[in-house]
Amino acid sequence: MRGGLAALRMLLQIAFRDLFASRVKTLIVGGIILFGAVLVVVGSSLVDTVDAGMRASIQGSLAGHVQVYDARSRDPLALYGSMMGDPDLTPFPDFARVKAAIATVPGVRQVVPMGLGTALVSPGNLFDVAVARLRADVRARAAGRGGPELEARYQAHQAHVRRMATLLRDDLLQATAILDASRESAERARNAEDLARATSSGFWEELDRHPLSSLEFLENRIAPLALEGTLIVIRYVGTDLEQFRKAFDRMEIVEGRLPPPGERGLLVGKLYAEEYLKLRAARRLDQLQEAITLHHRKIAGDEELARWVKEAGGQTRELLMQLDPLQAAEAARRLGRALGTGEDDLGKLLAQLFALDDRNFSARYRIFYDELAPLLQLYPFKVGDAVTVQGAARSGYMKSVNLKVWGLVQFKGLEKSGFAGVMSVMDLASFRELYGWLGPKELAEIRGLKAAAGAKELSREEAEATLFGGETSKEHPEAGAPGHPLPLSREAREGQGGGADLAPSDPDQGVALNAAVILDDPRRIPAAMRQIEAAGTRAGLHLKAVTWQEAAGMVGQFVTLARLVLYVAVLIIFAVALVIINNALVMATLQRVTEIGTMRAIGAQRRFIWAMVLVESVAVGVAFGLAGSALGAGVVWLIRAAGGIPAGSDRMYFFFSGPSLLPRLGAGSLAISLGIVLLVSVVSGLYPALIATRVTPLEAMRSED
Amino acid sequence: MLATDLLISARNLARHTRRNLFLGGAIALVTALLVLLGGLTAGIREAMLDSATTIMTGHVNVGGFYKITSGMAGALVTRYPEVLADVRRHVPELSFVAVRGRGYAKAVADTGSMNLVLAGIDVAAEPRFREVVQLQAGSLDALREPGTILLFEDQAKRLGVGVGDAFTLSAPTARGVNNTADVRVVAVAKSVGLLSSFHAFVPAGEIRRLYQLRADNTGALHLFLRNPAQAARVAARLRDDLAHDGWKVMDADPQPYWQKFQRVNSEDWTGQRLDVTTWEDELSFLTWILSALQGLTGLLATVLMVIVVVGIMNTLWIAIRERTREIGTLRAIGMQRRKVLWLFVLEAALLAVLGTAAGALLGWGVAAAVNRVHVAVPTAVQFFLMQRHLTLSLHGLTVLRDAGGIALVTTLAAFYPARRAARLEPVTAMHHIG
Repeated sequence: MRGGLAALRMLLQIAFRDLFASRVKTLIVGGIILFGAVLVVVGSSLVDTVDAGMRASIQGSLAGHVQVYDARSRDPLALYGSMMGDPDLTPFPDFARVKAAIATVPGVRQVVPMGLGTALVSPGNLFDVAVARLRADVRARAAGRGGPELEARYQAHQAHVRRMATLLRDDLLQATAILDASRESAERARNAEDLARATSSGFWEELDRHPLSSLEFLENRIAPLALEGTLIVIRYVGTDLEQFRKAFDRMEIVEGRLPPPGERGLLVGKLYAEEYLKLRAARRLDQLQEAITLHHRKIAGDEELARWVKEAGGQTRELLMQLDPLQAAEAARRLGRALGTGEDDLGKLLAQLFALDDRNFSARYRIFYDELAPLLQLYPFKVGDAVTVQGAARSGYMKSVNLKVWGLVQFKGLEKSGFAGVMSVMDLASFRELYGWLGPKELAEIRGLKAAAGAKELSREEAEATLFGGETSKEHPEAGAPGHPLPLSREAREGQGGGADLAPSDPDQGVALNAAVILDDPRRIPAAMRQIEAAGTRAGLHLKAVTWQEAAGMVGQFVTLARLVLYVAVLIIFAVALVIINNALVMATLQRVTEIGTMRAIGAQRRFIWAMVLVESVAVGVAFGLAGSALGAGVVWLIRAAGGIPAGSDRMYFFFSGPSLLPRLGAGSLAISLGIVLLVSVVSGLYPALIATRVTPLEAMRSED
Repeated sequence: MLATDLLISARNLARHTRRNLFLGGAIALVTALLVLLGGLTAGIREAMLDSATTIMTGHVNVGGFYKITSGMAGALVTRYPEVLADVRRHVPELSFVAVRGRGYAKAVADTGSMNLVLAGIDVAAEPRFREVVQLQAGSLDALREPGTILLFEDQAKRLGVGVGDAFTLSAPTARGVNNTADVRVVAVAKSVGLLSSFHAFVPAGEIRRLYQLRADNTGALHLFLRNPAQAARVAARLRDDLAHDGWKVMDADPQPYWQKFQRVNSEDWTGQRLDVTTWEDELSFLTWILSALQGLTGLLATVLMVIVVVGIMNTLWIAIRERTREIGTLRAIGMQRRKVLWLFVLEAALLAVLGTAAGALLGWGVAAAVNRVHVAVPTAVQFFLMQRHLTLSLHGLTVLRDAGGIALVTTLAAFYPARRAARLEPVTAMHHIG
């Protein structure tokens, strides 16, 4: 034992003497190891931070620790959707049973019911908004709150609606250029008639006498013709809002509030509202502002920014259409003052406002938001308004639900993610309605109807009338197109959603597609997954439990792929480094043939020589590996001190789970990188050590150089 | 003279077989790696171009939007026969044109439903389509009849339908009405990568029927050029030429057409505008994967080259120390400094060339083996690699360029040690021991 220690001491002594003696070799080998160690420490710290950040934001916003869905589903669960549309999941017909089964697993803190899907919302049309304003004036007049100010407003609103109807009439003439004239001609003739009436002066004179019937005509016959805005896709998760809030700490209500318990409603994704609903000109200004202030880009010479500037300026029509004559005059006055010109034509003023360059941008941005924005409606709805959400029910037919928008929601870390940040949240009862959950009795009824109708499928209108008690047609009796979205600013009467009777008192009773399970201890995920599936089998349910990464679908796969790529890259780098280090050591060994031979001649065993060379390379590895790790840690610290790596694009914002990546140094990644470095130095020392043992004393004495 | 020098270099290399084998091996490894990564990138790019140009885009497209009101756009080209005539006049590089309708619908079958991007196609007029799309069942000719559809195998599986089965297409229109049409599956084609998971083909008339359009409307003209590399130039020229002919043409915007609806809807114009795009524009939602891969390759290449350069310099340092006396002797008998430098650089160059050549061959061999074995790409990664079977595409010129680059860098790395060797004074050099 003591002999071994003494030998080790001698070996170390020799090793360090040699290292200092042949400094060039030591520096080269050490340099490569140092470089490698820095790379591994910094790289793994970055990937670990990205991984941990994304795990935290996805787990904390939607996935929970474990996701559970029916094992008999045709597609795997994909929380953020897949290329083929929503995954086809077999629903849990009675979620309460599932919850009861999962609750038996020890360590389960919460089981949250969910139903994910996509639906269409209409951002609404400006015509509806204008008519709603007019209706408010009519009411005020009827209530006897007259006055010169109201009269002026009433006249202005009338002029606004009338101008829009005139534009509409001209617009519809355009349709004849593309539409096949042989079809729908009767309907189109009726539309033309309606428009002719709405633009005639007789109609507007009558408004004073029979305001309510005239308004009804405008709302029911003219508004549906205003083909403003396409229907846009909204991704939602239907859930029990109280349980959801408790389970997911990443959810932030940016504006408004959570619907009170028992109320139905929708929380719209903030990014979704910004990206798809906001006034385009305002959205472009926001994007420019972010690019210029946050990413320090310049409009001059940046092709993308130049395009945004052009687009912001090209989208003033939306803006002009919103303003009635009174507001337009006010806007022109404010802009003229702010821009310091004598111009009073609003169109020209707007063109001037949007003539942006790097110098005037921040001033113009302020003018837009301080002067113009208060007159405008930046989003097609305000918090508190109702929107119509249309979903393709499981049967394929469209269902629509009117929901009150209670607020805007975002998930910390996913604010800018096109996949994950656009998610809106709605109550479970509304989801069930959209999903078109039908019991066995209704299904039999449909089959009967199908048989009666022959091979032809039911038309949409018939299906809805039959299946849902004509609810849709009751709500807008004369709408030419039953799916036509409701005016957004109607009062909350409809905002509570139809069919409140569909909602059972216990939100867990009824259909759900999947469940998020929150555990007391996240480290127990694998065990909990096994136990949940077992508990399902015991309860006669077919439960499949997956991790957040699997459940996240494409998003989760991308993280896995990124990790894999980093490890492969590190592996390749070290493979090449191994060869180079090995080579340097072999050459260094060969230079010492004389020395080694002499040592052998004076009685050193082969094993001693072998150990000597190996200890040398390990000593280099340890010394420089440690130095490299320390340097790497220093680099990580510097990055943190400098405020992290800023996310240059929205995609990076998502991976960084925030505006910048603050790398954290885990003890694990440090240990792993040291381990790798040690392994490399040992392995690369093996071959030179072997060569050294082959040196015979004779060879050493013969050698010339 | 050069032959003698080469001989000397080769002999010097051969004298230290072991060290040079290692070093050459490292160079070969790096070369093979870069060749393979390059092959992967090119493979993805080609697979993308190949499936995309069959399914959703030409090399250059003349599409556009028709706005009935300024707030409602349809992806339409009205009076397309006239547009087509003008295009033919302006594009002599044209090989052929495919006229395609554009649509989007939800497919509803008894056992499943999914969203489909519809392309209206005239199969009789597109011989290339027949070549690229391989049928699993059914017949392409049947697609001439109205009320028919071609699905890809994944879609058929998902919808639970086969040839002869019927299902319903339900297309949402801006008015909130869903136009529906019943279609019969007449052909099921083998998947050609990611894009075939959500594109399906119907006769051109079917799209018009679904949206109630007149016969002179279509979605887009897909132009195929004899040389796809010219796409960007042709697109830019065509944009100007069409504008010159009096068509209203939209500004270049490198995005696929379906991402433009929002912007177009909020612009203040009505009627028809044409939009000229290239295949790269239409695929811009995927090309970031290529850029990421290229960035990664570049980063890896840089790090590896640093390591290799250190290795080369180290080896030469030691070689020079070993041969100091030899150098001194050569200098003493009248060899010029320049010649000494030349000999050392030549040695390094020879090693680099041999190493990179071996590496290129190795990479080529591995690529050929991978292509032959048909490695199935896991579904998770298919989205990112856009291939079902891993295919590496190697081109002589690219490989040569990569290998040449590496050889050049490694040779340059030899200059510094070689210059030191050349600077040795004959006297000191000859005195040097060990």
